Amino acid sequence: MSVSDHYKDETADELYNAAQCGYFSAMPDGTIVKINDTLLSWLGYERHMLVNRVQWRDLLTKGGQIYYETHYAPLLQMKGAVKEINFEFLTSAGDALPILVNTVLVYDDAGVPVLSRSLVLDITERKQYERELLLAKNRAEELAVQLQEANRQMKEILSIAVHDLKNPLHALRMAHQVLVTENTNSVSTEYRLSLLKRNIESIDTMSNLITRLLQVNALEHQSIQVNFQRCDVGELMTALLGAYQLQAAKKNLSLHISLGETGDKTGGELFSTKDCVWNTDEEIILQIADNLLSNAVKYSPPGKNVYVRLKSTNETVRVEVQDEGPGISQDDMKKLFGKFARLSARPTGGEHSTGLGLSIVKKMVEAMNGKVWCESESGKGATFIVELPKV
Amino acid sequence: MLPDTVIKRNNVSIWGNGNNTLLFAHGYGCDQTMWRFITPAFQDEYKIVLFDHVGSGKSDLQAYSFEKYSTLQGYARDIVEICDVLALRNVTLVGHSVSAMIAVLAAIQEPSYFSSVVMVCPSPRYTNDGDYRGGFTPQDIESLLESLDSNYLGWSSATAPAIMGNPDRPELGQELTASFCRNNPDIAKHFAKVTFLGDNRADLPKLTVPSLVMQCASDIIAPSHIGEYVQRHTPHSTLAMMQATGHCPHLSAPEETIMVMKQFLSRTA
Repeated sequence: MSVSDHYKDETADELYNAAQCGYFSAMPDGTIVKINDTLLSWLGYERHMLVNRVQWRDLLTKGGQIYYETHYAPLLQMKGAVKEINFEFLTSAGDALPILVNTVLVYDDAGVPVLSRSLVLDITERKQYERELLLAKNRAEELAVQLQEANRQMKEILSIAVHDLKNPLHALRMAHQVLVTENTNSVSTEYRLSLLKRNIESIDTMSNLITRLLQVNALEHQSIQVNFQRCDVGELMTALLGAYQLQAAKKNLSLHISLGETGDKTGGELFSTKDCVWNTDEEIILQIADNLLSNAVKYSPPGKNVYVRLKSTNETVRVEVQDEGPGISQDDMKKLFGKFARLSARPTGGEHSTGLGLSIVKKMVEAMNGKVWCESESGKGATFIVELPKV
Repeated sequence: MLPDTVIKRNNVSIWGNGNNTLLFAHGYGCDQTMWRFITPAFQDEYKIVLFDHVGSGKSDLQAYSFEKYSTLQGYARDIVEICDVLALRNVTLVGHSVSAMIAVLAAIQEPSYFSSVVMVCPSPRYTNDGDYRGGFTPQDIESLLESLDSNYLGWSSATAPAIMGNPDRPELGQELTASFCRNNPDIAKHFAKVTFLGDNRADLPKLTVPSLVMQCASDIIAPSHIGEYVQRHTPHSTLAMMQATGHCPHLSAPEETIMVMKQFLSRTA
């Protein structure tokens, strides 16, 4: 017999039992009546354990069983055949075996189904590939959402930059127009000076906005470098308060600072430097406090108080800035730390707000592994609390 | 709501003769075509009304709302609206699987519309809860969602041509079977969660109209002790233990299903 004649010796039984796929036949209720060796070896059962004893549905995972009853069985009964249904068998060892099943119903002469025949493919490797695909798809979807958000923010930045730069530029141009065209003699030196002063303000506003936008952009695209060193935060805050005195005086605000409280006690000793020398990043903590204090001054009605408190517990240090302004509504509370948060509160002295300050604060606090939150009741002022772990 | 809106939304089909109506609600996973082997036996004496739940079959997918359909009450409201726009009264509402509970809720919402409720393979709660053995754990339901995910690889967003063939002809054309049991993946997953993680045990005692509980043998989704539970907790209910196996007796044993339904209908008529 030549090598090529071997196929002639193959028996139907051999082809059935040693096939590269699983075969089984079942009664209409799913009870297995015939099964090939290949499928038995995949499942890890002896023939007598399954045949006439087990409904093949019972070899599936629980979720697969529900799928069987709600999709596979109705589909099979309606169409007489189903293809490429993905299930997982549970082997005798309890392992999951991903499979594809094709089934046809066999009918008697009266058209009543009497048997089903199924073919089973082991798709372990394909399944892994599908899982990878699914993961990749989920990742791509997440990325698309992030990109959309980034795109939205870029548009916001652009529209804000355009809008907020336009007004001061316009003012600047008007002032220059006056200075250029008016007869030098008809414009008093004081008026000229006041125009130039306003020009400086316009330039400061624009420059401030650009600094903020650059800052946000930088925070967005690179991690913040934190350099911890011994720092007298009490002294730092006292100096910061000093820098705001002039602005506060214009609105008749009183600025207060209390240092070195421990726990939640209030009314600590004023201007004591006890507990206020921390390991921290001087630059960052100053920017955080600057933002919060600037907001407190900006949103306080005239004649009110602003309190800055430094507190220390066993594990943490806190900077709190409390104002007696309008407080923050429930609605605003949710978007408070978002970028370009358009809140209902307005600065009380015509000051400018970029809507970026608190988002910058949040990023910086998080870079130092801290938390920032706001406690406020509408109409009763707001307290911003920055809590940092002691390092 | 405008009648046309409701008819289109739920892909409602109406035919048959009779003053009394049989309104069939399909279960999770498929659509109204599941009732094909049953309806011919009733259409001479009853008006037959079939529909697809929103999100299933050829319902209006635009009408799907994840909020409205986050409980079975949303589906029940749709059934009441179908009765409203078709002015249906003396309705026997037949609900399979999850729709058995939807039918109960509809009949509680508008008892005056319904003369009786037939629950085919009902379960008021599929997950275990203390002594109550629904049969599944939340993890099992998670694994069902995975099954749905894996089998959606074969789901195509291209919809099959809309057809509703001759209801007299039980065998299905290729076109129809192409769409049967193939629902939008996101909706199907949501419906699965609402169905299999829900709990309607507290609603059973509120049913005031007579009802029939049809219980199959060897039904893993709604095992016999659940059928007994439903009967025990539902006033004016009768339990019919069937020889049919599995979860879809109207497909696997239409003759027995028709016989049991007819017995019940003649008793309650």
